[in-house]
Amino acid sequence: MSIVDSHCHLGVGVRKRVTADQLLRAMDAAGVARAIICSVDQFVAVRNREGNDEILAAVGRWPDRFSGLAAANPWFGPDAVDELQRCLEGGLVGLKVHSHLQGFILSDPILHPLVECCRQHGAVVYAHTGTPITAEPFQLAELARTFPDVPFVMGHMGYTDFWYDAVPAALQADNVHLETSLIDVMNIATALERLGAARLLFGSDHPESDLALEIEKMTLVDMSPDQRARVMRTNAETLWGGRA
Amino acid sequence: MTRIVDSHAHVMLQPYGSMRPQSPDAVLDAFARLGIEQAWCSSADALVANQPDVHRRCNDELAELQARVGDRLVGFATVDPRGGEAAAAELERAIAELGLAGLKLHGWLQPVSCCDPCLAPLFEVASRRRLVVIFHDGTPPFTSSLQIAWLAERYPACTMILGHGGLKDLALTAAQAVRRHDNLYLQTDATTLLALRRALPLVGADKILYGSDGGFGDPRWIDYNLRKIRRWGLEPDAEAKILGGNATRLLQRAGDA
Repeated sequence: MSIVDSHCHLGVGVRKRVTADQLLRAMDAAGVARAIICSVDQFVAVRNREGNDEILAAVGRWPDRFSGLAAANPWFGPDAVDELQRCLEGGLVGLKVHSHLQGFILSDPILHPLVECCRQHGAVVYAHTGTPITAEPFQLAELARTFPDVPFVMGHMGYTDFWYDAVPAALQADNVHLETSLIDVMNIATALERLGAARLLFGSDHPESDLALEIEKMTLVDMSPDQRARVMRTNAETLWGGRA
Repeated sequence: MTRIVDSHAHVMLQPYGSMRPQSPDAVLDAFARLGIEQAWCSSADALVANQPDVHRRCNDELAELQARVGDRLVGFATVDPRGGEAAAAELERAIAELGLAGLKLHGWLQPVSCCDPCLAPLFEVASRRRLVVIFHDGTPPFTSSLQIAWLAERYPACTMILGHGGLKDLALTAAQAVRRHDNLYLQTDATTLLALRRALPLVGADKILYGSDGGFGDPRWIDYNLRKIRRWGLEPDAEAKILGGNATRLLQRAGDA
């Protein structure tokens, strides 16, 4: 099966360090056809333009393997919107929000101009969740209800301690997909049962986790062939593919 | 062949909210199928029902199970951490009379702050007996890794284990704490592979123990956690220590005390 991984990192940061060649080798070894990539660490937090240039370059060089997300810290105000606009017009497919790393509460209106920019471009908002105070699933649901025509992705399904919240939050907002990296098998099974396979996206969070390990994890989840195809590939193609 | 010890596991005989209980034999079989020879188990029931009679019953049940299955299970006692002298007496009974090996504390579920002086009688027993104490960690406000490290500093005769290596968000502080305190160890369950890779050069392979939280939640999580160690890319010697060597050494040392 050719897999689409909805959450991979690219860049050499302070913590996460992965080059395009390393990521492509990991994807080839694990049977991943396409990865949705975003930047890392300081490039998500403050040095947005440098990180975005690297993502744009990778997508430009390997358009069949990568789709890219921009990072723009909303504390930069109108400059952040300009930077996001530059990236979306340059071919990136969405915005990566890491409110814990970037220093705000996920539902804070400080983010709204960036989400509005995504709405105007038909782009997706991917949000890290699971870190208390700044990145909780219900904060994402609040944001998603404010922008019902923007697609959102709940990164990690609230992992670690907000796993109870992931499905109830997703039930509040139909425009939220759940991304499977880090979260345990039991909660993926619960989400499948309560939300249906159409709402789930496989993601690895490579190199925070390991791409091959996260694919192995998904083999431990009981799914019909149709469900598996949706979660591992076709949902992502529908969500991101039309925007590539 | 590496001896594998899962140093973070549970026995759960009662439902917890919507989570169903699991037969201990089925959980032990799940460990055995994965090549795990021994599981360090505490009662999940006792962690969520803070009544002295429940703790007493759970410790009795665990001791019976330990007696029945032998070396496959090492039992860790649970007590009411806010129970003062009565809790200390129950810990003493669990170790001296029942033959349990150590203590499990879950300051978030139980709940109690690591800095609450009410814990003193309990840790006097744990120190005198040089016990291994396994903590849930990684969850503010009562179980941040550095809060547990404060107890490790205060009670150096105990061996303390951070049961989740700081989870996803506090992994950095877990590694810092384990580096600083000789009697503090890191468990691998629920923290990320990158966090473990970053912790290893800080704390060394002697200070890390494989654990899965098996018996609580879905048994497939045990499998995932073992695969996480295998995917780490460890040197064989380090992998052997983390998968079982360190745990075996720690219990041996506690037994010698």
